[in-house]
Amino acid sequence: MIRIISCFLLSIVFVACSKTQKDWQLKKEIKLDDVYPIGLAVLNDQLWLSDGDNNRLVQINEDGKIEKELVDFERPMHIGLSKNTLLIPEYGRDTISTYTGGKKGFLRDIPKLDAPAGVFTLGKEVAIADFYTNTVHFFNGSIWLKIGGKGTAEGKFNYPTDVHLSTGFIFVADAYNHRVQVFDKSGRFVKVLGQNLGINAATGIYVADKELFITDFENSRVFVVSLENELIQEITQAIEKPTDMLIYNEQLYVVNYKSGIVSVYER
Amino acid sequence: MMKKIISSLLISILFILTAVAQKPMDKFEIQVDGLGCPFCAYGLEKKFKEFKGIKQVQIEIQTGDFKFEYPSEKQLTMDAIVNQVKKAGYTPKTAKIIRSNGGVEALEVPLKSNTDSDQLVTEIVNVKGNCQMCKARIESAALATKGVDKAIWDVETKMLEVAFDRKQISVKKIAKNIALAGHDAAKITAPKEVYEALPVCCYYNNPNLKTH
Repeated sequence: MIRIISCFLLSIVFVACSKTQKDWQLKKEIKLDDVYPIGLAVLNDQLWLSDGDNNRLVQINEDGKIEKELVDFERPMHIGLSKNTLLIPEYGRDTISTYTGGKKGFLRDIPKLDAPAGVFTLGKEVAIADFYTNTVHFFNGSIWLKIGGKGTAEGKFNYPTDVHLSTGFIFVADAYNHRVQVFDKSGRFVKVLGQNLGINAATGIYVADKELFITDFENSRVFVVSLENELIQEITQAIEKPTDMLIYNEQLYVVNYKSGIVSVYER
Repeated sequence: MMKKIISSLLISILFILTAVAQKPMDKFEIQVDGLGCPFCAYGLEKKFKEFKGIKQVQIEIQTGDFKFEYPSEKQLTMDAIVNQVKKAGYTPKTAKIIRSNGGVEALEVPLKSNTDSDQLVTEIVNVKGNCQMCKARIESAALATKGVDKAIWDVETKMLEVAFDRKQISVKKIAKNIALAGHDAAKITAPKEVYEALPVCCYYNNPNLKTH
């Protein structure tokens, strides 16, 4: 009998520990001064934010103080990273700008864009979410593939705003279809994630090893779901009109457009 | 001789630059309902950049205030502005053009029509919608109906409180006008093509959308 009770208690402790480990807890809020962040990236251990309203990129320290500023962009959105280069989709200029070692440039030989909202690279692969053409352009290392088109059916988009690549798949924030869509690297539709969560504008995504993070912009929430579409956590604390997130040093960073706050969570 | 040529050339360039710099510009001030998402606001800005020659574009996402300048010689009309705002998926709340010659043109959502206060009645009507953009559209459609004195739609309850002159108009006619703007009102269904032309965040028949 004692054994049974012990096993039962141990099981409870195990389940409780597992649950605790799964939940992201708010660690701190980094208040920004006149920055309305949309995208974020870490370059050389420095946190960079795109500030769409002010047409600039800023590099901030742990206290939110701006340490470096890059100006003269036209509505920079979900920024990406390629080795030591920041990639900046310029929504108002229809280009992907680059910033490497203090120099600005442009990504060349890319398809014609109309309001690029997100960019992501993995090795030689590049993916661009193009808002007004309802298209994701994917460069597989040799050619560009065109994925999507306007619509609500599987494989179609209603204004894609962000894109993420894993080793096997392409994840797309299908913002106004309120879901995330997954494609294989040949551009074939694989599955939909997050469609059951009541999301209103899935504007940003981040893909970790086993989890997908989705911003629910209008409802001010961040969802953490498994790649099998099981809800792991709904984060609402310190979230106000979130647009993007990433995991760095085992901490989750969420940028909040409306409040101008970077919320940091840990497990 | 050479000096004279260079001087003339420089004077000509200066003259042209001055002429360009002094090109008369009209000023435009628009207030748009429903902005709030940067992707939407920047989209509105992008649509207006289709007007070649647009200058001094300023957009305040929080307030919905949108300003720009445009060459007077192109005579950009109020209708063109309203259509462009709608093309971007929004509802203009107010718009003002200050012409370079001092003339002012204004577009206001009517707040009140000529009504007889003795004949005013207030009714509550169920109107389908989702968001602040829907609210602006529903109230504008109601207030644009002759005989309507007041129209306030509640985003949460989906109820429209409408005060109207019962001698001029009926609640059924008001509901019909709202339906024609894209929103099912009372038991009148909006035309399919009008509903489908609404901005995606206004798709009230989409169960995924929540009020915002």
